[in-house]
Amino acid sequence: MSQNKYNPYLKKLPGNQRRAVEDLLAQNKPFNPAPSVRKQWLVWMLLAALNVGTTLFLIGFQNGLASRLADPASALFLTLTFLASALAAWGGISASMPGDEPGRGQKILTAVLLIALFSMPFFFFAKDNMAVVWSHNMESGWFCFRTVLLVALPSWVLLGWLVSRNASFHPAWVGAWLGLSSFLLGTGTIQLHCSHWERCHMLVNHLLPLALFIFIPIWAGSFWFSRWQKKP
Amino acid sequence: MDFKHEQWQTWSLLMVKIQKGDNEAYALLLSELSPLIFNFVRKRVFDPAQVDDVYQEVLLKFHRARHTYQTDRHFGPWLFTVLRTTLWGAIQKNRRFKENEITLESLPDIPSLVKEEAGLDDRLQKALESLPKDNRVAVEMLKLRGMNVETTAKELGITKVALKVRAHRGYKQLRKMLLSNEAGK
Repeated sequence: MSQNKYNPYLKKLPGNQRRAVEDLLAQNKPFNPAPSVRKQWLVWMLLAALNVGTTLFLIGFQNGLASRLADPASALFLTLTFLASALAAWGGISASMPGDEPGRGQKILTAVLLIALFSMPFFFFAKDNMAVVWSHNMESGWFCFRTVLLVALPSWVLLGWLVSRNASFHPAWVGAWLGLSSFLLGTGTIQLHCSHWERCHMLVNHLLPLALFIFIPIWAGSFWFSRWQKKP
Repeated sequence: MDFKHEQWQTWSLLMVKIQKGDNEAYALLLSELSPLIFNFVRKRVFDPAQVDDVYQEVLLKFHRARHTYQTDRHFGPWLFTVLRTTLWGAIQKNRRFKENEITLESLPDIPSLVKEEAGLDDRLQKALESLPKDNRVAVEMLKLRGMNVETTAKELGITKVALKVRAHRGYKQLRKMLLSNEAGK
């Protein structure tokens, strides 16, 4: 393809650079700029609210949720869960936008929130024993575990669809951020439904899916979010 | 790299035009950025043979990531994030490529068979001859004569699926025979 009309601009370039630039000019087409991190995050908020709302519509809120939320520890746990999910979603979206990557402060804050979430059951909630948890597994435990995964999956896919249009230079990290956000959304949702606020039950059935399966979004993300690099 | 504020602003404005599909603005921006990118790469890549490849890789990533530039933001941090992250990836990719590259000089003048493989032709011939006719013909036409599936199927008057089944059975039998020969040695 002739690039003669751009000659005034390109004539000062050495041959190798000129050829490379001409190739890019030949490939250039009008395109839609990626929405800002904030806009994408707001879309995620909407999708997450729909996801959580639909799930809770299907499975219902726990009985006595209002009195449960009057307990500061329970209210704090729920707040931290959704807050960490939102923060991780922001982290994932910004990690896929060059120049907007999450800073050290955000990484530390997310880590602190996660540590707080995983340690809260040890300090603030009733002690149960594993045998009880396993017996619950036959009744409600597996349901909780499965619900966390069922909320996390569409959330991750929708978030992935949002960020796959950006340009992730660290796709595995983006996958990890999004995975974290999605699993926490699942944890928060099930915590609104499940009336078992006991240590082992919460750790095994509400938080373990995150620890157990976080490698899947990392692995899948490393493929999905690097696809933009191969596009023409 | 020390540029005046106006310079960054000009490039940022050009990016706005580019996002609206202005190819001339893109030509102008690339003509100004290209030497900058080339120097950025040259200062950080110590192997001169790699500079050109890495430069092209970086330029291509810049092109593919251009939609993520937020026009209300400073152009510098965006540009240097793209350059820096692409640069290290490209250097590693190139290094891996060079490590696996076989240079012309390292190849022997006359191809020689490895001792263990010296008798392969005979064994393969014998194994081929012992195949059922249909399977042998399929393997010979596809693999030895290098014909494509469509032409071969037409010539034999069978469907492509049937041809693939015959060839697949042939490969399986060949493999079995060659492996049993190997084990019997």
